[in-house]
Parts: sequence; structure tokens; C-alpha cells
Amino acid sequence: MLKKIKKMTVGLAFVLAACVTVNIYFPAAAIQKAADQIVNDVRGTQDEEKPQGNENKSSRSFDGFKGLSIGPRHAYAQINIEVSTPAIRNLKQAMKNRFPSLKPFYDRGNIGENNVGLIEVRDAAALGLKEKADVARFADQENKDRRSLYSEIIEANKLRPESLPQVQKLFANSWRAKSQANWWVQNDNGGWEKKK
Amino acid sequence: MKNKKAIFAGVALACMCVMATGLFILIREPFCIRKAGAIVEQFFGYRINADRITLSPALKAEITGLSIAGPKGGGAVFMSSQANIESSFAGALRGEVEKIILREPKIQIKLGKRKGSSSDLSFIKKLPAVDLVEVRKGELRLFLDSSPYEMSIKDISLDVRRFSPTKGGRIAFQGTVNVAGGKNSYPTVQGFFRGDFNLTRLFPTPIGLGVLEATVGSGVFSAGVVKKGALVVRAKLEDERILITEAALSADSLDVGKGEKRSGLKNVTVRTDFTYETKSRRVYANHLKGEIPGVGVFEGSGKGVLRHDYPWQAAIEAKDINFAGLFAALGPFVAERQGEEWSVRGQGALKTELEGTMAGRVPGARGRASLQLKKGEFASKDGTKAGQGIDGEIVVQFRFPFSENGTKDINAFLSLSPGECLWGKYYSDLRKVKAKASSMVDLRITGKDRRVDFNGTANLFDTGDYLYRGSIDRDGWRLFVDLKDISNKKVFLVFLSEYLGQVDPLLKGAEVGGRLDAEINSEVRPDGLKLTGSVSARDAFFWVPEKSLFIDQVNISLPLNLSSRLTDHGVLREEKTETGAMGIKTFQGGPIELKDMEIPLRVSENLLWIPNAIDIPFFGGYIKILSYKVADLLSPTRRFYVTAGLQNVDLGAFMRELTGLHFPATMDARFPMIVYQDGKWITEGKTSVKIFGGEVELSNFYAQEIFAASRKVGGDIAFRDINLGSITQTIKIGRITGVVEGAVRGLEIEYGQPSRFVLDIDSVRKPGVKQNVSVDAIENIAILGTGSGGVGMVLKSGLNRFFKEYPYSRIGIRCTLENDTFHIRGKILEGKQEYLVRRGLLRGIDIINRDPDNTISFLDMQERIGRVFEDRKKNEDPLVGVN
Repeated sequence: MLKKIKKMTVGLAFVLAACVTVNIYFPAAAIQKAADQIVNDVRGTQDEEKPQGNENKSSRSFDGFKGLSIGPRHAYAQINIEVSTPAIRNLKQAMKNRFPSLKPFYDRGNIGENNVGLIEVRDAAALGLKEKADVARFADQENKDRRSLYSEIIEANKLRPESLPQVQKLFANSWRAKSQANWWVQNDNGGWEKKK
Repeated sequence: MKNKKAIFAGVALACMCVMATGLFILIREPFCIRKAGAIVEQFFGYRINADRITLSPALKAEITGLSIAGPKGGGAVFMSSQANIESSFAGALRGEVEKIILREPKIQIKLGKRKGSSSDLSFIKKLPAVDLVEVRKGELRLFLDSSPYEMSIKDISLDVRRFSPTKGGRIAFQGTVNVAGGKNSYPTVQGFFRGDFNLTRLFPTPIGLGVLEATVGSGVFSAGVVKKGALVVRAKLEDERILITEAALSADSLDVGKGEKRSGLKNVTVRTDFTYETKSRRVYANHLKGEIPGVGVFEGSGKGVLRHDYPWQAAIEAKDINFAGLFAALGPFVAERQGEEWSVRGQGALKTELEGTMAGRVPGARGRASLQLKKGEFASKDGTKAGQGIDGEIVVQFRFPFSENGTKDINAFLSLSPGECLWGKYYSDLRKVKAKASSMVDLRITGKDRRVDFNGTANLFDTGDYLYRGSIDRDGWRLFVDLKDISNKKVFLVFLSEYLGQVDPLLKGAEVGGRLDAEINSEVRPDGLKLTGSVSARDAFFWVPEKSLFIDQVNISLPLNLSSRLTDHGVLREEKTETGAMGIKTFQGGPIELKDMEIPLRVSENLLWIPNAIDIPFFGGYIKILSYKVADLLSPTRRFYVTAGLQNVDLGAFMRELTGLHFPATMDARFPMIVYQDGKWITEGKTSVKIFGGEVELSNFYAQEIFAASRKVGGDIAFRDINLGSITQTIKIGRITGVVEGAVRGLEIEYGQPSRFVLDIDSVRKPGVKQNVSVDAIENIAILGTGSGGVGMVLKSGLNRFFKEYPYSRIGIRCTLENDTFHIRGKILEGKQEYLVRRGLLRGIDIINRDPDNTISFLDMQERIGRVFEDRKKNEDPLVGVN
């Protein structure tokens, strides 16, 4: 009887080990990596620090648990996020060209990075009228380009349109994480704080 | 006889004493008091009660529990716990009272609705002289018949000394005031008053000096709250005039407004003098001065006559108004939506002169007010809309009858030297503009509905003549605008040049010229907007040097007939058709030049179209616009429909200008329907172009944001019977002969670069058409396919150098571009080989794809194409072999 049970257990283990399902999930890690690369390109920064956003944390911890899972193994398709279509190249270049104009406003705390991957004009009270118009125009153009960029990434990588908020969130992680000290960033709870 | 008289006098005196004694005794009896009260009530209507009356032979009387009520219990009620009356014997004989002392008297008065009663004060002269009247702890309560308000004056102390109707006397009084409404009713006031008057005569007119002080600890009114308010009046009563030598009104805190909007004024003061001449009934105040800290100081004067038509005149001047403070004070009274509040700052001066009548045939006011503004600023709450450095002047003349139905006339002149202006992303520094903006407007307000009619002229920085008129009533508004001889150049320089340069650096240096005239009637009613009139432009031009765009001698006559009220949008109404025209002498946009365009236009409700086909000369041929229609002009989803064609266009000249390449062909094309909607141009049907001996057919063509850098163009292209010889004569990649067909499917071009497509090219055998490929073409194809041009060296060495061309039997190529990755695959599969080009039967050349998974990035492909069209380095070593 005991032998039978042992055989059945071993057999079951083989069956379980043989069950491999290939699932394609939302490629959070790959998009995060692409976002880091784009932000580096736009701002001319180096990849020294890792994004700290909750979305990223959760996705990374989720990846870790996958390795420990017991039972039928799920193979996760390696998705290469394309970040170099003509639209993406031009959008990146436009943002890169615009960044020197935006930087003084970041430095002075007039604008900040919100938690959905966009720029927000926070406090323009101390600016002259021309600077107010400039910051409004730059922020508007930047946000228009960012929205186009996120849509292009979804389209180029054949992701579902509903994944736009997730893409924005991942980019928000990168924009915020790669912000300079004393720039304003919006945390995931909606509060604004100075980057340390 | 003498004795008899003496006895009679003694008896009479004794009887009188007995009677007096009897009266003294009887009157103290409650029965008698009640009986006497009943008699008085019967004859006079007043009910008088007293608990006890004590009469002293020394001419002293003491009454306790005295109460006097008005007829039928209404009107006034007087009660006093104790009243003492004293007089000396001699004074009594003179009808004088020495002392009247009232303790805790209480008076209640209920005021009814009766109006117009005149006061007869002649009773004053009948009052007895009193040496001293004292009232202690008195109380007066006033009720209003028609409202819940009640005013009570408590702790009243009143001292009247040496009172005589003819010689006056001194009167001093004080008390605390409390005004209270019902539940949640206003006003509620707590205060204190004090007065001291020294009169030398009381009747017929009082004469003397006095002071009245009233303080309000707190007062809550429906309009606001007053804290620590004070009124001090110093009066001088003369024989024929009453002088208020000083009336000072002040409030530590005056908080007016509605809801959370409060003015929060502090330390408000107003001082004035005042004179009333009793004979002439003239009133005047020569020195009125008020100060509202944070707002400014105002001074004024006024005069009037209190009879006949009650004419009056007043003047107020404020030399240094702080508009920030003024706007904050007035803010609670300005209707603004939550989040749309505005702030105003600046210094200014106000001068008003008013006059009018309070009665007569047409009582009302008329006057003139001028307001000067310096360094004015305004800003929305979020700061996205603002202006600063604004200097200006408003002069208003008006005539306001007081009657509700009277017509109110206002004439206003406004002159502004604007400074900087911010409106969202729009910014303009108008300080650079030397001219001013001004407007003169006449307004008339009539009827109970307060219909406003207005007409005026305006000068906007000397850009032309502007006239306007219109009306506003409860059903909507109408506005007619007449623009005459407007300088496009000045309008562009003042309002647009700077802004466009900020938005797009390529628009810096743009110039606009010509003149504009327009007559526009607009009418807004609850069911929508209607716009009619006409716009005409003369000799207009538009030049953008950075974009090499030049449009010259534009003449437009465009009728307007737009309405958002229509439900049958897009339906042509022949009976309402109006005619216009547009002429452009020169259009030059980069290499494209159009000349002498004359385009007739027709306009009906919300529709604009051209009535017949027009030919626009274009590179030796014509662009034929067969039909053009714009529907739903007022709607954001307006649609354009165009049917057009090209006829005998010299493609060679056109492409040479456009690309530098020469295509020796004429082009004929027909675009059956091009539709524009929601920012996207879409072709319906198929468009065919005859070129290179064959036909190219475009379908599903679309274009988005065609004038933006992010423009997107796409569609499908099919081509048939294309002569490769003709193409390779034009595109110098080496000579190839033969005929091909194929298609470009899913073509998408973004930012001027292809982002995806699938291209199929297949050769087609045609009798009498050779299929050869030159060495140069092979070399170039190898560069495109492999990145190396070394094969050319192989073909140009040894025996191969004697052959300039090689025959081929078939070409089959598929190129795909997706996600910036470019693939080239051969479509000819024989054995295990994948051929792009298959050689001829006996001789020729094969091009084989040895690495089917080979992909290159689009940037690499761009680099390879660049190498094809540039001189390659000589003596380059071959890197690939040739079959």
C-alpha cells in the first residue's frame, strides 16, 4: 500500500512538473526598464538609482513569488518593449529639446511630477506673466507628448488600450525616481513632497 | 360786616381744608383710586391704575404701582413702580413742579402701519416748568406691528434740570439698547447711548448745544456684522438752523457680505458736518470725509432743499484708491462662481458729481463719474489669466430715473493702455504698443425686464474702425459689429505675432498684410446662435520666411450664414444661398507654387461649397477641384468633402522641386472623395495615378494633423505594370528593366518617416520587355540587403567586368517594417533557397537571402539608403560572394 502511495505521489509530481502554461502578462518590468531608458535619454541622466514607486515594488515582488511557486509552472514570455518607432523617437527628441526649458521651473518648484506620469504646474504665483505663459505652454506640450508617447508604446507593443493607466504609472515611477533633489513629486497617495 | 366776611372766609377755608383732608384721605383708598381710574378711562380712553397714592400736605405726592394703558389696550403702556412729585407752595401757585422722580418706569409702545401723521408739539408750551426730573432704571420697549423686531432701551437714566418750555433746560440721558429679531432674524444689536443737551429754549424751536453718542458693541444685520461701532453727533440748535458741527461714525470692524464671502473692513470712519436751515429748508454738508483703511480716503460735499422737488447735488472724490482693498470689500457683492474668483490691484482716483431730485415729475439722478487707474492688475484665482501694468480711464455720464419703468441712459468712455496680458498659454506684452485701446458706448436700460440697448465705437490700437451695437434682454443678446478698413498687419503685430513666435519658432518673423472689412450680425437665443453678414479681405498677404510660405494678393468676399439652431445640418437651402469669391494671386509653399486662383463660393445655412469645378494651374497642368463642400461649419465635428483630380501635371518638374528626383512623366489622377472629419482626412474609394507606364492605386488613404510635426499619413498602395526602366532612370540605383506589380499594405508614415508597411514586389513577364539588372543595381541591392557594397567589386573584376547587365527571370521581394525593424525576404523559394532575384535560364545573377531572420533597424536602413545615393569608396574589398 505504502509503495502504491509513493508511486502515485511520484507520478503526480511528474504530472505537475510536466504542466507548463505559457502566459503573457502585462510586461511591467520590461516597460519599467524602457521607461527608465526614455527618461534617461530625455533628461540626460544616468541609470544610477532604481524607481521606488509602489507599482514597481509590487510588480517586482510579484516576480519574486513566481519563482517560488509550487505546482504547475507558468512560463512568462519574454517581451521586448520597443521604444524606437519614428513617433517614439520624435517624441523623445521633442521632450529632450524641451527639457532645458523645463528644468528651471523644476528647480524653482513651479512644476512637479505627478503620479500618473505627467507634469503638473504646482505654484506659479511667483512667476512673471510671461513665465507663467511659458510654463503653461511647456507643461501642456510636454504632457501632450507624454500622452502620445504612452499611447505609442502601447500601440507599438500591441498592448491592450486599457493598460494605459498601468503604463502611465510605470512611467510616473521613472519620472519621479529620476527627478533631482528638491524637485516636487507627487506620491502615490496624491500628496506632494520634495524629492530627497 | 367785616366779621361776617371773616367768618365766611374761615368757614370756606375750613371746608376746603376738610375737603382737601377728605381728598387726601379718600384718594389713598383703593376704592377711590379704582373709581377715579374708571372715570378717566370712560372720558379719555386711558386706563390708569395705581396701587397707592400718598399725598402730603407739604405738596408731595407718591404713587406706587402706577400704570397707564392706551385706549383699548393698544398703543402705549406706561408703568412705574414709584413716582414722586414735589412742589413748593409758591411754585404750585405758579403752576410749576419742583421735582418729579420716576423709579423703574417702563414704557411699551407698539407702532402700527399708520403713516403720514404730523407731530404737533404745541403741547410743550403747556407743560409745567420743572426744576428737576429724574428717571432711574427706566425701560422703553418698542414693537413693530408687522415684524418680529423688538427694540428695548434699558437702564435709562434721565435728568432734566431747570426745565421750562420757554427757557429750555438741561437734559442728560443714557441707556443701553438692545434690538432683537425673532429666531434667526436680523438685526440684533447691543449698544449704549448717551446724550447731553443744554437748551436755552425749547418752543417753538429748540435752541442750544448738545452732544449725542451712541456705541454699538455688536450689531448683526442681514448684510453683515458691525463690532464696536460708534456715532458721535455734536449739535448746535440755533433759531433758524440746526448745525451738526460734527457727526463722526466709526466701526472697528465692518464685515459685510454673503456666506463665506466677507469684506472684513477694519477701522472704518466717516465724518461730516451738516446744516439744516429751517426757514429755507436747505440742507448741506460741506466737509464729508471718510476713510476705509486699505481702500482709501474719500471726501465730498452735498446740498439739497427739503421741499418742492427736493433737488440735491453731491460730489465725492477719492484721490488714491487701492483697488485691491476696494475689490476685496466689494467682492462679496459680485456674483462669481466658486473657483472663478478674480483679484484686482492697482491705484486709482475717483471723481463723481451727482445731482437730481427726490420728487416732482421725474425724480431721479444724473451725473458724471470718472475713474482713473494706474498700474492696474487683475488675476484669476488660479493665476492662469492675468493682466498687469494697465493704465486707463473710464468716464461715465448717466441719467437714472428712480421709477422702475424709467429709461436709464449711460454714456461711457473707456481708454486703456494695456500692459502685459496672460490668458492661459497666450501672452502678449502690449507695453510695446504705443497706441491705446478706447471705446465710447451709449447704453439705454428700459422696462421692467431691464433690456439693455447699446451702441458704440472702438479704437483698438489704431488697427481700424470698429462700430458695434446690440441689445441684451431676457431672451438672449444681439450684436452687430462693423469693422472697416482693418489693418491685418497691425492686428497681427498687436495680438498674434509674439504669441505665434512663442508657440512655434518657425512662425517667428511671419508677416501679414492687407485690409479687412466685415459686417457681422450675431444673435444668441435659448435655442442657439445665428451668425450672418460678410467678411472681405483686400490685398491680403501672409509670409512665413522660416517655412518658405508666401501667400500674396488674397482677396476674399465671404458671406456668412451660420446657425446652430438648425436641425437639418448639411441640407442645402437654395433660397438662402449667397455668393462669394476668393482669389489668390500667388501661393508659394516650399517648392509648390500656385498662381492666379479664382474660386467662387456659395454659402447657405452652415454650408460652404464651390458651385462649379475650378482649375488651378499646377506644374504645367491643373489641379481640378471638382467639388468642395464644408458642412456643419459651426460644429466642432465639421466635415469637408472634396472631389479633385490632377490633369497633365508635369511630374518631373513637380518631383524635382519636391525631392530633387526627376520623373519624366505627366500625372493624371482622380480623387473620388476626400472627407475631413475629427482632424483626419480620409479618402473614400480608390485614387489612381498613371505613372511609369503603369498605374498606382491608392486606397484607404488618411492623413492626420498634416501641418504638425506629428503628422500621420497612411493607406494602401497597389501598383501594376510599372516599368522598372522608367523608375531606375529616375531613381539612380542602377538600371533595371522589366515590369513589376505589387502593393504596399498598411503603410503608415509618422513624423515624416515610415513606421510600418508590408511591401511586395513581383516581376511580371511582358512580351517584348527585357528583364535585366545592371551591376550597379546589383551592388545597390546588396548594400540595401546586406549592408555591404563589396559585391560590386567582384562583379567589376575578372571576366565579370565585361558584363554590364545580367538577365533575370523573376524578382520577388517582400519588405516589412514594424516597430522600427526592417526585414527583407525573398519570395522565390526553390529547394532550400530563398531568392530575391532569380537569374535567367542560361546566364544571370541570383540574389539569395541566406539569413531569413536577418533584421536591421530602420536607422541602419536609412544609413544604407544614404550610401546608395552617395559616391562609394573606391577599391572596397568584397565581403560577399555572388552566385
